[in-house]
Amino acid sequence: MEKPVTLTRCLPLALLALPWCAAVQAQTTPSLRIVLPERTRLLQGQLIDVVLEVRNATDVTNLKVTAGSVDLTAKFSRPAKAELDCDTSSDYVLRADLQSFETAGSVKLTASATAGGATVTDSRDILVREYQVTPGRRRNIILFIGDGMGTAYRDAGRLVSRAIVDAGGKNSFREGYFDELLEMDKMPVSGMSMTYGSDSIIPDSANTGMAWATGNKSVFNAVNSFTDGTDCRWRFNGQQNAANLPYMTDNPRVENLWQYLKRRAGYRAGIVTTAAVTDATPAVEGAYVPFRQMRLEIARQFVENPMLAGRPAFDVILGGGADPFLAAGRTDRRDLLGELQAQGYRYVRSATELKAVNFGQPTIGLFKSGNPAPAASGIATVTDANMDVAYDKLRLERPASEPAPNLGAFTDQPMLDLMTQKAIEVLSSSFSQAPFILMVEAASIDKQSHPNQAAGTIWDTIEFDKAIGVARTWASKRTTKDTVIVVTADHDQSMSIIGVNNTPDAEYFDRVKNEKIAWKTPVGDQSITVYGDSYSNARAGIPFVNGSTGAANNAGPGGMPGAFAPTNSAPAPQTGTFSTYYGSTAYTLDSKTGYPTNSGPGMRRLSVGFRTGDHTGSSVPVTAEGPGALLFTGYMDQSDLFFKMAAAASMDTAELDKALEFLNGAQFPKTFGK
Amino acid sequence: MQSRTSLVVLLGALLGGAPLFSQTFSPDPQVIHGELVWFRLTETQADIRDRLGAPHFMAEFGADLVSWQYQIGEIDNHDHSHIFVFRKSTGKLVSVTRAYEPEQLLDNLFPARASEVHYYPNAAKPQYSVTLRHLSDDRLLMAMGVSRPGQPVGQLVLIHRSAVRAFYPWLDDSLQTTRSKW
Repeated sequence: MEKPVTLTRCLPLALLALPWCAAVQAQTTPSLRIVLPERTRLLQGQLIDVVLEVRNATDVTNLKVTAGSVDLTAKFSRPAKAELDCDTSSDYVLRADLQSFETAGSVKLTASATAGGATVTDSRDILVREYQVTPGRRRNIILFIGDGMGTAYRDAGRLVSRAIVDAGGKNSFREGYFDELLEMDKMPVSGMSMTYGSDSIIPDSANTGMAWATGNKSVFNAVNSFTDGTDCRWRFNGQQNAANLPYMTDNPRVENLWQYLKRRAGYRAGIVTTAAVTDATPAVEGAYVPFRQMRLEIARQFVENPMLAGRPAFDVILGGGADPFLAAGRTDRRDLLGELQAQGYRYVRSATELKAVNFGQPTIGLFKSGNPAPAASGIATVTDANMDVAYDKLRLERPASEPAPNLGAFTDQPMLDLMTQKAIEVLSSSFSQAPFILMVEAASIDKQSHPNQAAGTIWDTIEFDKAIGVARTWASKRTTKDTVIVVTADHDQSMSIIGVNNTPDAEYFDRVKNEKIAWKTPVGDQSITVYGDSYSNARAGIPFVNGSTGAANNAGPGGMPGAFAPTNSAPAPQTGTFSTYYGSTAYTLDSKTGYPTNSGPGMRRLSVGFRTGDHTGSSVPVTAEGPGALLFTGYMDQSDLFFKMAAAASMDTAELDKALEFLNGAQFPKTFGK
Repeated sequence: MQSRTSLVVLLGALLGGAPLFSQTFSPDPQVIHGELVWFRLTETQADIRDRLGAPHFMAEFGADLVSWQYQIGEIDNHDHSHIFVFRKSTGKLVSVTRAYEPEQLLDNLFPARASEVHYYPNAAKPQYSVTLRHLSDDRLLMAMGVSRPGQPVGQLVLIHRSAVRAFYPWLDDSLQTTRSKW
């Protein structure tokens, strides 16, 4: 019955210069695995699926599972035949779904069984942290996620929105100091978060979200789920589809803080995002799937949450992506939007409708939809329908290298600060005066970085900061300082700050004048089209193009951007009109919108470069304010954020808060503009 | 004995695959003179690397599998447009998945006389369907989620018949018992 596992021993075969791969038989003994990471951390009572995989066994008997002195054996299902690892071995799976550990401390989880006549065992040391609801100390949590917002993005947001030249010619950014820093800069506590996934130093928004939402790490694409032995059917072969759903819905799940606080402490819960609301970052607050593109299932779990006995996950949902909530967009033809409305949810579709929202009725606002039809994969919709970016909502003209906006029928989409304000108003005005937990995401900082669209990403960072300002203002007006605000990113992106330029508008917006540059190399071809805005937006592979390194207008100091050799000798657009500029950024403010404009005379635009347009493995900044904020100082793992938010919300932080107040006293140095 | 067999198969595969790579590589299947031209599933990792360069992403998974993932083309927005799965032990290509975003109409690859539809979990109450075309050398070309002409394709899979069991046990069963005309 046992199946051979083949190992490879490759020997050179000189005659044909080909590898000779000899398959050899390896011993296949029965084994048992608890499908949890080596370092599993939980809060008291946090739900988690405990799954056991038994390999190479003809049968499984005599199961015994204990957690410390507690016998969990009776909670497990009967052994179910399974086909693990995409091989032909005889395997079994045993499950105990939605278990929890009520005693704080280190818990030894031990499993043993008789498998194919042999005794097999496995164990995990699970760290269970205390969470106690203290009467009178139930705090609100607002978590801001700038998707992809590493340090350069915060810097770019500041260097554009806080370098404003007034009518008298005075720049609010002078001599290297700002008159006023960003809202997120003003928060008193800073730290850094390491974002590594369990399988890769470069993470994505799903597994980073899982880290701060559940306190546990997982792999790329995983939403609050761990890997298991049936993942080989779909995870790395590109065959994520409805026929593989049985293998995509069996992964062990772990409860996130949104459901945990709603279930255990009566919190209200919300998500606000500029992405489709079933995108990875909002999904980690309300769904449990091993693959982030299971949009139909994510939407269903928002309405029928598995941790909440089938009740809706949220009291507020605001963002894009109506498609998977509509009958036309789903394979099961369920009208999830109608089902929520039947449960008392208010549905809003535009900024105008959102502005009219002013009380605590549960609310779903979906401000963009696409083509509401299921994709052929059977697990998602054809379109994701993220909201349009701030730059386009503001009707600013895009630089030549970035696509022209197309809002289509969705011309009345709200800005993120309005969405944040209304979410807070709804969540904070329940009859029960329940505390709330809210996540606000600026999704397109990352989404615009992937195609290297500098204007798109920077203005979204500014929009994000305004939303943070709304929350800070609201929290500061509370008679009781009961709101913890945390700002961070899920992961870094590849943009960096590389200088300042004085590219004139006539060149910056000119879509006609361009140069196509291509390289053919033995190890791969590259091509790119360069427009006149290249000094503001340098892409990987086409360094900061400058054909006039010896010209007088190349006033930058030696070694500054602009000293690169030209990649192409063609005259346009690398002409003398393009140059780096020695100095500071300088923008003007549109008083009507409160955002900087990106055109006009006398501008000095920020120059940024994108190395890959993809995520990086660099750590990301964290800033915090409110009770327990000092917990968020120093270098930390991203999964710590979960436990720190829970601690800030529930523990006595008076001593910490007093220390922070002391540190912020006038007797100590303070940054200009803070 | 098993080693010798493996060697013969490997040599045959390499020699058989050689002509393919003398042709211009196309990331998508082509119909040339009425014949479907794409991967032969005899290619080695070296063959793929020679044509496409190093993969953007590699991952080992399952008991004996390794995935090479590429993003080819500028318009396609999918995370990876091409996913190649090899057996780690032999280095032999098991399957190729082409992910299309937006979905594409590929009816020309599935002529009615040569195509069939399989349903999951069964034809009486289908939750999912696969349109399938048998190619030479035990290869299957599959339009995932498609049951009739005119439906766009998001996942196109080329897989060796012997590997179907590993990824789609239900389809393996269906291939042995039922067939429905497309």
